[in-house]
Amino acid sequence: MNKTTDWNEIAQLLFNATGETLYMVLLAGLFTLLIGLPLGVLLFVSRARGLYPLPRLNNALGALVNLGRSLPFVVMLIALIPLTRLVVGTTLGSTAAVVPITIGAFPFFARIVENALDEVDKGRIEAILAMGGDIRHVIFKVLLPEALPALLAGITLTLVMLIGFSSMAGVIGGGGLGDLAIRYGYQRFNNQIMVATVVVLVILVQGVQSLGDRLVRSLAHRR
Amino acid sequence: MIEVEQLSKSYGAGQAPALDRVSLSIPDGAVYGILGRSGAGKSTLLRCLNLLERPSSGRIILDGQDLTTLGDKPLRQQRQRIGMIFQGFNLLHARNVRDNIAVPLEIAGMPKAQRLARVRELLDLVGLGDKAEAFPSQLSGGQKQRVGIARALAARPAYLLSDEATSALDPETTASILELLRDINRQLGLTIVLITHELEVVKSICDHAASLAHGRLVEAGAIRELLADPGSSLGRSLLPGYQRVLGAGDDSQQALELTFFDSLLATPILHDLAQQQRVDLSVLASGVESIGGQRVGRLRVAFRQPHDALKLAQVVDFLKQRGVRTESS
Repeated sequence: MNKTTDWNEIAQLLFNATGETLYMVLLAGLFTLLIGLPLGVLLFVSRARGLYPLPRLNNALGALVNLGRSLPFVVMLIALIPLTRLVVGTTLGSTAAVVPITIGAFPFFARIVENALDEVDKGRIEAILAMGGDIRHVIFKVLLPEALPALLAGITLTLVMLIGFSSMAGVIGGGGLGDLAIRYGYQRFNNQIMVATVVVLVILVQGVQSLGDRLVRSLAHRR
Repeated sequence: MIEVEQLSKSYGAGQAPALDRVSLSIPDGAVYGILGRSGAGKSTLLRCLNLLERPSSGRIILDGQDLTTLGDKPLRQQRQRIGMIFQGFNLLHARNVRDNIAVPLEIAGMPKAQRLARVRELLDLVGLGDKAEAFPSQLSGGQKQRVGIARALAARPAYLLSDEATSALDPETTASILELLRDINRQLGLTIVLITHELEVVKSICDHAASLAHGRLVEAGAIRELLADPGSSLGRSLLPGYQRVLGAGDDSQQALELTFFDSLLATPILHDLAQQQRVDLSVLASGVESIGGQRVGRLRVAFRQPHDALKLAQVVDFLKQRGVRTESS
């Protein structure tokens, strides 16, 4: 017997799951930005030949960031369960999933920020120093504004990655589209829901990417 | 006044030093040109003047204060008194022209209303009154350098450092930028230190010059004195050039090279020479240029008479008395 699910029910399930996914992506995205941006700036300025050389700190941070990036996300998801319990009080649900997603994403984003800042013409930094500017002036008047297009492209990339991460959160009962696909599509062989989930995920990723591209293009005059 | 004392900079043991015990004195109000080939150390020297590069040893004394001993904050305050312009302009591409010029004023902590008024003045000074809203990517090279100059002047510095500011520009634009720099030097009494590999830049706006080679100072001084000194190779290189006439100056003739300064150009010296010394002369080549604010003429003259050395010595003597520099060639 070919089991079909009522479309209203599918719509309801998808609506809830999409809401959970967006919740996880946006909250984890916010934390990733809040941690990764300053960390990326610190990684850049503390380089041995940087604006404010702190080679030891730079090496330590670099090692930490590399560690964060070397673990497969599924492994990190499970390894971080005790930390999640400590921070959120529970290991279940979308809010709990935000902890491992953020920790999986911010090292990646910090490197993106570091590389974006490295692309800024050194002469522009020198010009600000020659005027009597200090490191804050260099960061806020040169580095961040001049790297803005590259930073926006990096944020777009990170958001797409976060959508992928949030789907894996289904493994630890984090909810969202990935959870839906696993419970219905994989465990109950419900192809309708499987396909519907894939479609929604594709639309989400395309939407984020084209929005990001459009923002970057609107800053084209800065190039 | 900027005094550079025994300035050395090396980037590592085993490498030839970028600067080797360079001493210079840059008087107030001067337009001081530092000449040298690429790799001669002129860029390092310029960037030591505002301590963008730390010298390995030596002192930079700006109006009596040794910059190399200053802490971070006093150094930044001194840097506000030293504007700088660059070959690559180094404008901020995320800001329009107005906001680029305002950067030094923001750093100096000037309130916004005052900033806007000052930027307006500067835009007029550099002739870009209609470009306030434009972004750097929408400007030509010459316009970008004008913005660079306006930005460098914004905080009313006493000194302006120019790092090959015209090297990326075409000859016509170069001339207009040099003219602007000269006007600024005259109107604002600003001391300008520029580095360049182009003799023409030094000839057209500098009143002082120095030459560097392999990190060492070769010569330095007022251009008027360098030109008057027959032993100065820098002075010689600044003299007007002329095309040698092919076939002229054969062995039967004796040729002299004559250099005239300023008012001498208007006196009939050659006529007097021919009449009073009874020599038969012909001009082989000539050139007149304005160099460091004075007009300098250079002539290559051949004599058919006299045939003996004694008479030639009289000619040289006659010219020397009239203030003409002579060299046999």
